[in-house]
Amino acid sequence: MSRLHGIAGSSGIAIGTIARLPDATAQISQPTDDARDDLQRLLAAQTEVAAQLQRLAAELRAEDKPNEAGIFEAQVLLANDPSLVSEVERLLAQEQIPLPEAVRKASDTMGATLSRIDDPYLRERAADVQAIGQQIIAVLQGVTLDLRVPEGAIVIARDLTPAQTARLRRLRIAGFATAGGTATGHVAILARALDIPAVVGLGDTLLDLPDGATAILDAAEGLLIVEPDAEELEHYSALRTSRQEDAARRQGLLSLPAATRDGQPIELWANIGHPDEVQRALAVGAQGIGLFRTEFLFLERSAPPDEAEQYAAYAAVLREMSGQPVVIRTLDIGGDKPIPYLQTAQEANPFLGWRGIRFAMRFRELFQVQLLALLRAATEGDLRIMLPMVATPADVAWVRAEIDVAIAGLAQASIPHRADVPLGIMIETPAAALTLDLLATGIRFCSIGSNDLAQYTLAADRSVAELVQRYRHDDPAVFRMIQLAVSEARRLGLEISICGELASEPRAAVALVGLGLEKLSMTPAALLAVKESLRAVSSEEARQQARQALGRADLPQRL
Amino acid sequence: MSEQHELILTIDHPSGLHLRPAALFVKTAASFQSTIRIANLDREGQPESDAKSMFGVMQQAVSQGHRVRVRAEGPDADAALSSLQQLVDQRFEAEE
Repeated sequence: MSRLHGIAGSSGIAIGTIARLPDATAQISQPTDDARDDLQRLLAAQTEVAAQLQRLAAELRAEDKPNEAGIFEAQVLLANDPSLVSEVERLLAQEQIPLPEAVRKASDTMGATLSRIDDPYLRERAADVQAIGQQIIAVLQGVTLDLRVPEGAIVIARDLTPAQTARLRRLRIAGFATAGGTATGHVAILARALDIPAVVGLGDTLLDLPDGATAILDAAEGLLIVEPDAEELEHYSALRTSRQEDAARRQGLLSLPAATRDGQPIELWANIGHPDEVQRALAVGAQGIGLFRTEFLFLERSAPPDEAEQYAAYAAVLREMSGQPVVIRTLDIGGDKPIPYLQTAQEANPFLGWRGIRFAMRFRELFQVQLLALLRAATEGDLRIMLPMVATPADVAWVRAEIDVAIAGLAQASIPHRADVPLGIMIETPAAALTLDLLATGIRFCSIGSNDLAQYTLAADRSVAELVQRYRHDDPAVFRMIQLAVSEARRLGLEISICGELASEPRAAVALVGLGLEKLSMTPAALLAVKESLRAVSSEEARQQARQALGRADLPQRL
Repeated sequence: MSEQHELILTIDHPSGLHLRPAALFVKTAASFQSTIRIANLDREGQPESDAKSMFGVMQQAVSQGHRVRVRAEGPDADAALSSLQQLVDQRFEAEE
């Protein structure tokens, strides 16, 4: 038995036998029976690939998946790209190499050009260009990339083209695993949209696995287990069955209101970390985005994103949410996740150091750019700005002053923006929970970040797995801290919600509602399960659960 | 007869010149005979590229708010530029 760890491409569990897709570019040979001139053959192969892609686009459009269809429509243009033709022509003339080799070189060079440009979106497109090259080569070689894989197989490949991903669905495979790929690449996006369990980025060891071996794919965990023992097989098989049953049952909840059994309405919102996840949030009926993390814009690159790029990301989410609220949290990073283009000093205790809003104070210009993009994007919908790691009134006052500077600049340049964007804070330090009244000046809402609140309340580093198990986020100390914040917020007339992981656990969610929270925000994957558990209890039962969670089951006092 | 003209456009689409807007831009450019080149004025040192090529347009990494210079040379240069101008003015919504 062996276990390979990669990146979650989608969710779901697959059990099947491994079937490997060969690499189209592995052995390049020059067929001799084709007397046509190289450029004619290239043109014919390009036309064939473009036609294949066009058919896929039409199918997806007919299935009412216009976004996915758009991916292939853009690829049709790449297949016919005049830049590809001229680069291949140049290589043929200068290097006297076989045509398929020239196509591979040309598409690699074009991909490399795109990946050198400092834009994460274009880095993904580099993979698209190479995929098109592979498809053209396959046609030139007379190889079909659509392999007949057995039904129920777990397909493994170095990388898949988006076209292959879409076709795999029709072959009724159990799932797929790739050596390359990222969570935001087209292949992962398609796997989620088409609901195929998938793990990407498993590394080259994946390709050494034998065909026909039994394997388990736990997509959400990014895990591939090869040759599992009987016990593991049984465990995952039961898990798969119960998840399928749960999912089927919960689909029925989509049209029903989120409320307790006795009709107390609860708003269920979604947390997202990338604009692509809005679709998933809407698909499970989220009434708003309670936490849009903006870190994805800043990590894994060599220069900070400019205002235009940030504006585009924020505006895209607001438009897709068509008027429903979107809470965007300003950059929340610190010494534990160093950023190459920002000089940060080594800290003895990064979790107690320059994190969250303190980080913004150190990199004021970076923060200004984000504020400008947010204030401008606010014209596109119901945007709200949320600050991470607030501890003192001075933290809030500093941000207010920064926002005033940003607004003045935009007003002076007559750039469309909104000056009245609601400002809120995360409650993740005990200080914020204890002194909400002092922090509330200039604040319209607050949201409990239970992960950090647990870490700071229990003084237990949440990056140490054993500590996380011992000092749990549902400890009575954390619930009492939350209770304090909720009753303070209510007294102050401040809107309060929770966006930590605690809200995504069905049992804990009931206790949170029992504490008086009326708005829970969580990962889209958990939303229907939480809805189900809330609909099963009365408000009184929720209050009982809250008393238990507070460790006060013996004291039947009024909450 | 050959005309040469140029035009500066500000791309006001949330996805910049990526995917669908890029595809529409390339399709529009490719429907004219003239040679059409594009350069992103907001990315320093970015050389011009072929506006009839998806790769050429992607290479310019045009985000929302960026200004691009479009040059056309050929018998229908004027018509090409006004079509591209119209596409951008209508925020890429005209053709669907």
